[in-house]
Amino acid sequence: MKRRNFIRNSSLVTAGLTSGLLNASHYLSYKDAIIGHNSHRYKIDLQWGALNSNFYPVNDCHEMVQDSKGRIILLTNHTKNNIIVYDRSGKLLEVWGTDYPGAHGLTLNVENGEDVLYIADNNRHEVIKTTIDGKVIQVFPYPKESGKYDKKESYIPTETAVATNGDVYVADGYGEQYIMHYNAKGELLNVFGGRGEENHLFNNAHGICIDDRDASKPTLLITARQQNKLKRFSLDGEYLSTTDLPGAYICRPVIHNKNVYLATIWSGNGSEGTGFISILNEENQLISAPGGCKPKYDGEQLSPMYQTLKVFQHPHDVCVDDDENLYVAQWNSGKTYPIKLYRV
Amino acid sequence: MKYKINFIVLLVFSLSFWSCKQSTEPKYAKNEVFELAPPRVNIDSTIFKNSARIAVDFEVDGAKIHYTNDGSNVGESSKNYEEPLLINKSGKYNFKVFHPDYQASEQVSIAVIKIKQSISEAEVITSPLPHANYAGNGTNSLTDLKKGSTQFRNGFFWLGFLSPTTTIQLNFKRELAISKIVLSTLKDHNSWIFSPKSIAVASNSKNIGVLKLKSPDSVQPTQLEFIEIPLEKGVYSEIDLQLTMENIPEWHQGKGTVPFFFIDEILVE
Repeated sequence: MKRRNFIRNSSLVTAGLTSGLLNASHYLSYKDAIIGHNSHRYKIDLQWGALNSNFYPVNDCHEMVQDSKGRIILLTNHTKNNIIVYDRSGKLLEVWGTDYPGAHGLTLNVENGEDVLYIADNNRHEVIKTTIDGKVIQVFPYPKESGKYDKKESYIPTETAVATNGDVYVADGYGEQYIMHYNAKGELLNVFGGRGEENHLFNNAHGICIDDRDASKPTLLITARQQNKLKRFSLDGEYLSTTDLPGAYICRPVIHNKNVYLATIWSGNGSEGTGFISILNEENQLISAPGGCKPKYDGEQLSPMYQTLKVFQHPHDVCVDDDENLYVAQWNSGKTYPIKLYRV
Repeated sequence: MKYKINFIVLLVFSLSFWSCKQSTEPKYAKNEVFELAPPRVNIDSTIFKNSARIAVDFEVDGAKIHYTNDGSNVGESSKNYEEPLLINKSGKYNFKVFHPDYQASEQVSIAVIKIKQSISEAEVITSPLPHANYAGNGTNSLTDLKKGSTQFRNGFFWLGFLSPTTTIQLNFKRELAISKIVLSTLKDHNSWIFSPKSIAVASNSKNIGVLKLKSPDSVQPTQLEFIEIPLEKGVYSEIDLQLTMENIPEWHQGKGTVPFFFIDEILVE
């Protein structure tokens, strides 16, 4: 409730300030757009984080995370500044990183009390672990020892997940669709998945995370983006179950409290510019689709999803902050900066 | 004087503080900024023998779907879509969504064709052969009455050609009275799939029809498109189609190269 009051009050302040400058009745004739459904509805700030592109350019804005200090960290594949750090209001704090031409996956983990980042680079064909300010700690190179690859170029990692014991899972989402399971030292322990239509296989294993909502039994959630499916595996790589999200081309699962948030890059028949955001409840049912149609279930079966409002083009990741506001990074969307959604 | 300077300093400070404060306030986008996405139109088959069913979805509270069935543009006074439409004749349907809070959607067009004459027994020869990645179920894919969708990589419906000119020969193995030929094609500029520049139709080396199409001056929505070519009315046992492609226009990233041509069905009337 506190958060909601804060938002309500701050918008009253804004309205008050603005009405002093503009014709009040004219201003009030416009309504703030609200997207989403049920418990998860949002106002939209299209200008959040916009910077002077001559100084701080972006290409694709691939992923975002919030660090332990509450800062919002954006990963882009522009090598002038692969990492852009904002505060939650969208103010620029710092930039770093010039060595990640294929910067794609960004995962934050707290190790020995320090934030560290895992950058999956699909141009370098490896995953790089860095300190929060960009010093390289460790590299997970192309897994020749897996025996699954003839050459480095066939391995195109898109995402990393880190378990509480320090084990690291890497999804080869644009390559051969395998999931690599390493220990913290970078020794390969297991390989599972691979390309195919069967339950335990993937077509575009794009995103991966640890689902620790049941703390006693953590599992892996992995998106099969082209299949519109979210697949659950044990930490040992055993296939467990699938959540079908027909029409939703989901990028990576992000767990926040009891919900799963998924940027959905395309929808419907997969046409360009048709993205929205998917939000699942603790039973993994779609409860809200900001920018998309109202989720409708026929028994267990979700009706095919599609975009209804052109707010997003190609959402690629969602970051959820402590106030449960969302930051949406977009791929191939005219080199635009992230969009912030304020929960109402 | 001193007070005046202090006042100015205070004013500048207050203004600069206020403007900084302003920049961190969220700027909520208004309803009017956003356009509705097009409605989702489902049809069981755009080519049919008896009837077809068109169902349209748009799950947004307060949204209204309107449509026309004569090919004219849809406005808010056009017919209200309330339930799936059962179609029993050829026609062109347009759909559009309206909502009091948002900009109206783009219009979605869908053409349906009732088959008057089956040519499923015809022999089909193409030159060149279709591209290896888009060879459907062989050249008979063009007469099997199975329609592809805009997801052209799925299934075995589409034949894709990558050539400045393509010839399609149809040998009906019997005489048919024909006045029109219809090509069921795909336009998907983002995937480098374009319509031909011209289509010439001949039978026994005699020209019986020609159609020239306008070069697009910007990217157009992806859509299934029926191209109709009126023919000199007559009785024909074979027909040759010559399709000529224009290089991809200047405005496209593939400018100057030959685009793909995609076809999944040929119909005669």
